[in-house]
Amino acid sequence: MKRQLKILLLGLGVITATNAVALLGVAYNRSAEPEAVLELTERELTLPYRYISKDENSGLMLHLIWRVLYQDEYRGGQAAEWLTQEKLQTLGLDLPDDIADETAARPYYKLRPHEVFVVLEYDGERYQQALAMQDKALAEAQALLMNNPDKDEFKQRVEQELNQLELERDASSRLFVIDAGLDAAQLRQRYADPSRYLILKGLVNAAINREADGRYVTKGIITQLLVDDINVPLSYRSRFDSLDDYSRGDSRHIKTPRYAIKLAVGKRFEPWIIDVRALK
Amino acid sequence: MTDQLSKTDAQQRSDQIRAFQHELVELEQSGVLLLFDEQRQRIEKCHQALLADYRAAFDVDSSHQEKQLSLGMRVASFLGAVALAASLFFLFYQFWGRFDTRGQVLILASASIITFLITVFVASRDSSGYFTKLAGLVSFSAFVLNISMFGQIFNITPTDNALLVWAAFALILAYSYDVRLLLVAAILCLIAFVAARVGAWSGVYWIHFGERPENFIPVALLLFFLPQWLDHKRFSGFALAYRVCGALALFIPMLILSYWGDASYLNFAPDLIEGGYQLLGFTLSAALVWLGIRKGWGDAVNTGVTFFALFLYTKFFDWWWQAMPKYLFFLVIGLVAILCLVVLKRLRNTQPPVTGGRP
Repeated sequence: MKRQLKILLLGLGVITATNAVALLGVAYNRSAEPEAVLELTERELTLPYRYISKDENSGLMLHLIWRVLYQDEYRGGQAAEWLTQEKLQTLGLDLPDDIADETAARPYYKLRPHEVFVVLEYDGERYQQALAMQDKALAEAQALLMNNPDKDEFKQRVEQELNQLELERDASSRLFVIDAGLDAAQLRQRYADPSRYLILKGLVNAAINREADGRYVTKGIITQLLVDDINVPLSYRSRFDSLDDYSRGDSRHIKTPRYAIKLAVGKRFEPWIIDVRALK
Repeated sequence: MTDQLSKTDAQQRSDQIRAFQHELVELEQSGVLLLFDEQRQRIEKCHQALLADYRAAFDVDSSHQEKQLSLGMRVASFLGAVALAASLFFLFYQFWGRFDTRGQVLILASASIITFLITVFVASRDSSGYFTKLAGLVSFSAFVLNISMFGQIFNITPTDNALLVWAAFALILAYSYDVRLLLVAAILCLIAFVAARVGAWSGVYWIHFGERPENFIPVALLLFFLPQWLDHKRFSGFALAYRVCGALALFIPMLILSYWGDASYLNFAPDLIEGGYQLLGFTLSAALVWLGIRKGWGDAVNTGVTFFALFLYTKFFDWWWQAMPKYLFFLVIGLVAILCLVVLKRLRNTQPPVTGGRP
């Protein structure tokens, strides 16, 4: 009997203590004023790709779409131009100032992601730069077509760039990772407006690339945000249940975002939804 | 009397008693041994009392048929436990979106508590242990679901501490009710936790612990030698589970590193690292066979032989698959297997014959 009681107390102790610690952590995160509150739209918080399979999973998690402004040659990757070798060193990545050859480069191929705080800018300067870059790409394609009016290849290119511009203007996420650091308070001082800048936890890594001229170049990569799927509580679910399937997970179909979401971030830099409204 | 025994020990002793009874009949029939009635009665009385004790305490099998049925029950309880755990996961996923946050929290926390209470209740009535195993695994799954779903509901940053509390809960269930399956679950959580912490010391974010196989080596050694320091005689196959899991956590990373030197922490040329781990793999797997034979650990011998063969055959594949005609490649493999048989047979013959005591 005494043994049974001991087992009972031990088991219940572990269950209740773990639940209590987890819930106290949530309460602490959401206590007092949120660290930041931003209103995002369907462009930045999309429905899951397989929302259609809700027969098996009745919950709904929205996925946070974030971007980095990359240099032209890295387009398609996630190498941020501001995430330089010096910056990576300040973030705690053990990198040398200079890599002379393959032997020296080898240890750094093995680097794994490090946890940092990242700053996300919403609908700001970086988004305007992305629009300008797309405008420039379209202008270049049009100039090529003007000089070669009979070439289908250039007609297609203009069409592609037009589509890209439309996508950038109407559908793509306007949330850009613009900085990273180890001290969240310092970052908040630098990016003081909590309605424009989010601070979240993320991972950075370095990629060592050998260029055509034989130089070794270090590129910084944001590999992921630690929380990028946001749960939709039941009280807001009705706003999503009536939405059609067409845009699920595919921003190319979003002509006009259908909902806006107020996202709060708490003391532990964990986000949660505080309001959802329909957009016409 | 049964307090110091595990179910495995009780089953072994009852098998011994039955073997003795059969042998006694043979010896009496051939006239080699004739016991006085009084001696026979004393032995029978002692054996009956022992068997009755074992049956009451451990539900041991008293015949070959019962043993076969028990094996079926073991398989059924394992499959049932896995299926019920999966069912619990899917049940929650199917309906969780229909509850508000408070409802979700209440359901998850109470599922953990209720399934644990059911396990305690079932264990108090189930001497066979099969239903306890089933209930225990469902309880463990409910607790895993509880904590992982809190992470999703409240968008909590993932933490490796979850692995530690899952391990603690599985250890409580395993040691309370002598359930090896839950011990293995606890060991897996502990392996992941320690490997994550070892990885974190080098600045790597914990989720990426699997990308550095060397992170597993400290916990592997710890697990392998743990039964040497802690007495597990009262628990069925616990020492074996620690040794086998420890050996797997050591040899699988070594096998990976012997072909993927870039994954190592060591700053040497990948070829050198791979060669080093191949050599270490051969040496340690052979050492494990030797240790297993010396200590009488059949599990260690089997694991050592398996990994020695794996290291050997993957190396053969690496060297000769492209270079040799296939018939020759498989002929070499076959000849090596025969050589292994000869070596093991010679080793077997050098063992002193068992003349008494427990096998």
